[in-house]
Amino acid sequence: MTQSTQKSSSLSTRHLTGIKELTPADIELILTTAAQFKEVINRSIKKVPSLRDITIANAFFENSTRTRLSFELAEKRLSADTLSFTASSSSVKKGETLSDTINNILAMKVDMVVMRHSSPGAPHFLAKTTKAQIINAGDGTHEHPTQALLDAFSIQEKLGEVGGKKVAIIGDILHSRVALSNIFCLQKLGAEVMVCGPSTLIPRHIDKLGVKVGHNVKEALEWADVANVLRIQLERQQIQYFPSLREYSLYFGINDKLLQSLDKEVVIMHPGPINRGVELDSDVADGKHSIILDQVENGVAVRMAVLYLLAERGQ
Amino acid sequence: METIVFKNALIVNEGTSTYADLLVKNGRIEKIAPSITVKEKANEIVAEGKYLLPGVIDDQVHFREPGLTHKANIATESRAAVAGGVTSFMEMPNVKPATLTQTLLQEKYEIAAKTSPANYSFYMGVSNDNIDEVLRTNCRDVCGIKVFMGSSTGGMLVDQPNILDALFANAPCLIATHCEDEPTVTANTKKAIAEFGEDVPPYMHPIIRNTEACYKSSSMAVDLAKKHGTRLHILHITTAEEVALFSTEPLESKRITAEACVHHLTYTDADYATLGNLIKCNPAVKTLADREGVWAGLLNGNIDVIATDHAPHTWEEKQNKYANSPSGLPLVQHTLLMMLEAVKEGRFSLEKMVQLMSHNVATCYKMEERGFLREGYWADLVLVNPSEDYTVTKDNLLYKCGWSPLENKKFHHTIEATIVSGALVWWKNQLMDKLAGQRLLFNR
Repeated sequence: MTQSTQKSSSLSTRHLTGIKELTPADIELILTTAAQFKEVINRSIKKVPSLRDITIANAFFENSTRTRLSFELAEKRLSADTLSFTASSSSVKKGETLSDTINNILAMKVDMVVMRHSSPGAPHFLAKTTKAQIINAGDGTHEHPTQALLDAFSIQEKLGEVGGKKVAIIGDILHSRVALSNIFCLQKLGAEVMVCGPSTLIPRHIDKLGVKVGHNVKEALEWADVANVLRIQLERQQIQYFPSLREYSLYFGINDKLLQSLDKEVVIMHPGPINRGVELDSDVADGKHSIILDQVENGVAVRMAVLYLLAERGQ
Repeated sequence: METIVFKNALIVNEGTSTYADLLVKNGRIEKIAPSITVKEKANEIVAEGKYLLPGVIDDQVHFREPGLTHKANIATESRAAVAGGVTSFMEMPNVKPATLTQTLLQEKYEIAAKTSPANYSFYMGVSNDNIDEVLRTNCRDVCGIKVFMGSSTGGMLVDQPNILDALFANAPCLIATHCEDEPTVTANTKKAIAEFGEDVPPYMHPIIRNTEACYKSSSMAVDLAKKHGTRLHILHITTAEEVALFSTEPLESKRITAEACVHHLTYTDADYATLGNLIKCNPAVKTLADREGVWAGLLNGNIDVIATDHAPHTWEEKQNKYANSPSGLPLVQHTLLMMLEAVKEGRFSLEKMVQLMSHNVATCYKMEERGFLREGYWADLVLVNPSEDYTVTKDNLLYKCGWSPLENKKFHHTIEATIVSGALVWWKNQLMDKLAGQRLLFNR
């Protein structure tokens, strides 16, 4: 029971641009801190004064409901001052450049910017060009680091640890920033990863990242301890990647019958929002193997941990 | 003198745990062996499945006598100490009148000799104008010299650089310091009053008594000690930043050591919401990162010992609004239970806990023949039952103040027996009321 020594107590970075930039020790620290915040948010008084006098701007240049709400709640629980700003209500539409928009926000003495943007790399660009600490809440089809962290946290909570576990990511891998961040995060924690979906929705050469590639959902489920089922992003299907939603559902949808046919249990996860009846049937989404609502709760704790640890690095 | 034999106890000492018997005779540990048979009449304690540890040595308590005895006195608090497995304590000089002369110091020893079931020592206090008295301190039987570097507690603030220089250059023995920079605290207090008026919420405490205040003062103390080669012990480290001030070299060769307290290892600023002023103390309970940083410092060897800073105030006093609620909380009865809980949670091993709560304190102060389970040493022991729970209630508190921030908290261990200098003073939830406490001696 001897404690491992030299645990780090601060992050190696002052921005969270992506999981790629984090060390395994950073991820462990975020998960440990999140566990402590989860205990706090289950108390009757859920607020901590830690981020008093820190101002955080939530700049969402692309639509988001749950991620934005989860960040806003995390910020409030930490007593930060916040201002929120969405593309539809902003000067972006009037033709302002990204760095001008952010610099204008920073001129209002903002310490951190939580941002979502449709262009991959936008947060990395701002981390280099502005003074604020940047937290990526999703950049195009690139990364969504806090989602990967909360997924890892949820797996750890359910199965005790992430290392040595087998995780299948099923669905639209091509358009998914969740998939890429998850692959980086799970691998850094020592898990094995498989991606599974129609060939048209799996990027070529993804096996170079060290992941298994599969096209048969039943085989993937037989292999996996955890299935992270991704949403079919209806808004990104400008060209036809598969003949119809019905056909997708028939070949890649997960229903209770399919789970029953396995001689093992698989933990079901989904980053939301779910297309019920497409990638997941309701009996699975709401079934006993699903931890989808735990993921939502854990999202607040993990985002608190990220904001808190970055604020510690910011001063 | 009692003869006591512990049968088949898990003896936790100096990094190892082994099942053995331990014989106590004439106040000392007579023998530790796989099996001991005693011919004479002896109190045999069957200790199967229980831990036998060296008694906890608490190097920082406030027992409030003389002068503040409405809050506590040496008799009540030393009883609470032995009930919690603390066999020796070192007590602070901020009483009334403050312990600033050798005569006043001697008076405290006389009170303890008449009232304490635990072993005792008292710190000599320092003010801006008693340096001559301080330099006459006998380091053989006084634990150390206490300096409040920038926290005004009972007119004992030492803030004149020339006095500090003289003290650090000439101290006859260990200097223990409370480090918080008073100008920083005063400025932050003004800011808080500007924002909240007279009703400052308790959660502002760590923002008023912040990292900057701690670091400024403790780094100054470390610099002074390095300059003069002083034997310095910095009390209650509360911030992750300060941990880096201390080296991880072996304790035996250190001139500068540090202490962490159980409440700073337990609470965070999230707890002000529920406990409010009850956990108001100086230095303040700070953030999660600070708590984790201090834990890391303990495990890595930057911080050497664990103590309580047991500082009781009456319930009524603590009910005042923030500005008038005095700082400090009572802890000495539960310090070992709190740390055993941390062992259970996997924070550290039982052996490491014993090292930080007993061995290292003895080494730090060069204490004579205590702090280890060794044949010939004084028998200061505590027997822990790991399979019986213990819930803190108002009824089982032995503090004069009659309250604890831990009320209703359930611990997964019980302090079954405490032996002080060979006498059984606590046995199965009963005080034996023996004045077994001795004046601690130091090899220096």
